[in-house]
Amino acid sequence: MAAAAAEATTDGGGKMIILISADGKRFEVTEAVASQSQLISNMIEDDCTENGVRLPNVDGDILTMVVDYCNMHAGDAAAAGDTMKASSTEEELKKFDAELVQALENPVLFKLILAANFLNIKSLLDMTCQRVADMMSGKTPEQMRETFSIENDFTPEEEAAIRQENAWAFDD
Amino acid sequence: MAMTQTNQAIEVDGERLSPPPPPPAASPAVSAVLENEDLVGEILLRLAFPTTLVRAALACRRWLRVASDPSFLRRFRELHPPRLLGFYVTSKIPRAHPLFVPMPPPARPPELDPVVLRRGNFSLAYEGYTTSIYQCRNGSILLFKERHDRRELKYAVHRPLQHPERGLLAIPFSSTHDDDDDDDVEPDLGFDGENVWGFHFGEDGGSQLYRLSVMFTPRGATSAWFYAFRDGGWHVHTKATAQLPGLPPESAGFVVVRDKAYLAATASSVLVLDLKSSSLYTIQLPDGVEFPPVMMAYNDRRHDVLFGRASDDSGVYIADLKEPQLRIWLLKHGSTGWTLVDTICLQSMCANLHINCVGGDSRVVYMDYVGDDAEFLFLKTDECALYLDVKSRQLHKVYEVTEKDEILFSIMPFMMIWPPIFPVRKEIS
Repeated sequence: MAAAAAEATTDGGGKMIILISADGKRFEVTEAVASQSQLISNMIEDDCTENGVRLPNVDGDILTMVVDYCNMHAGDAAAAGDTMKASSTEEELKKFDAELVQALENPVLFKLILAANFLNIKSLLDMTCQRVADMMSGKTPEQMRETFSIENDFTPEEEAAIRQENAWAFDD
Repeated sequence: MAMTQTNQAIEVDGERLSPPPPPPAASPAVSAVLENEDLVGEILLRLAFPTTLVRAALACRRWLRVASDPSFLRRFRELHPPRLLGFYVTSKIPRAHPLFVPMPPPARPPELDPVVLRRGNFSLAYEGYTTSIYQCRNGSILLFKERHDRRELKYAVHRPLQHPERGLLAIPFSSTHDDDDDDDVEPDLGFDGENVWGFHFGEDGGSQLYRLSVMFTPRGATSAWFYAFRDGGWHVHTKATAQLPGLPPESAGFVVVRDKAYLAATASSVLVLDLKSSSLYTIQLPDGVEFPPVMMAYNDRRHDVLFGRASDDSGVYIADLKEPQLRIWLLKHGSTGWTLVDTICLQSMCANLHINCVGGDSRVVYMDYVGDDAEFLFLKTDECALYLDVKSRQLHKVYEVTEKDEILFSIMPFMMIWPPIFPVRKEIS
């Protein structure tokens, strides 16, 4: 990806800021795009984005996905006053989101959740958490443990008690 | 076998099995998400069904801790209100027992088929008895069994979701002051002299059964008792008396919302039994709504005015059917007046189902049940059960009588159970 100039420039009226990933990759985005992250939005308000925003716990490949997502969704960010990127049509957005979500697998999906949580991008967090929830649908507890490498730390008695109280959830 | 490993050996049918191999190590990102209880909560909140939630809670202690948190469960319920899975239809003769009818898809998602078809569809046939369903709430069903020779009548509670094997809890007819067990005496259908009575499953998981009994006198002295069923008998929970202007009109049944029971008082007023303060008082019905006069209509469950409840206990609903118009009113707790929340014209919806719903002398549609938050209603004609989805304004014919002399009597909804029962939190922290 193209490294952008370090200093903030303006492009079509929107002020630009630089995001810097953990591995030093730089992304130039408009404030309107970046503001979908509540974290960055707060930084913009506090006027501390001049020298670029370092995101030490987001890798470049994940930040690429986050920036793509924010670019696509800039149109529906309420804060965007004069977004110069034309807002995507609803259908394009739906297609983009569906393809993104479908392509997500462990561990990228979970990295994206961490990034969305850290950057505080609610719609992306919604979407990625929903994807994990969908992966759990129809699975037994054993299959869920297997899918997510979770260790069973219940005693057999505890497990039996929960099963017995909620037997309706275990019919197959 | 050595028990030093983290995974304990599991005993199955007396045989010790080796502990399962520990799962492959999760990637750091997966662990970071799944060890963050806020994020686990966000994920579990998005599970579509309580069945999946219970399974997830059984994955590990952390997930159980998240899933059993009361505020999490409240949010989950708001996002995924309990679904209507099916209903029990009781007909007047000739069938001897109610039928279970699963809701047609998409109202019933295939994921819940095991719950619906295996557990909801239990047999209601008891050799030598006629059965009917009196109440159905949050997975608890109150059955009424009558022996064919009418020498034995009894109530029983069945919880098919928890106990599919049809275990019945016998409920005596009488209160504690009447425990005469003389076999030659046919038990009364109610307590002595009461005018309005009925049962109520408490909201604590539907496990507590209550019974309301109200006695009106022509001179206006009115008494109400609220009994709780405990240790095999009825115990007075609340008793209140008041002076009212005479006898009540047709009963619209009653509802209990939070600490208040609501029932018909006069044609234009509602009797409220406050269970906390043991007081009885009346409130006015909305303008233009009247309880119909007594015409044995209640015995036919042909309702024109029916109560419903808000699922969060925030108020009480009144549905008022003046064919072809249906109006729904809400009285919020703490507010002084009824609010009209919906007006629905049934005429064209019914016409699509070839039901002539035009009112007047040729009226055919009655109400049988108002769902929580008045989100759905069961309506009926003599021949068919109708499901009205209030929000989408869709009316569906969900059951039609099959026998020649069959007349539809009651429609009792079978809802998904809520909440799951998890061990107390201190044990799992």
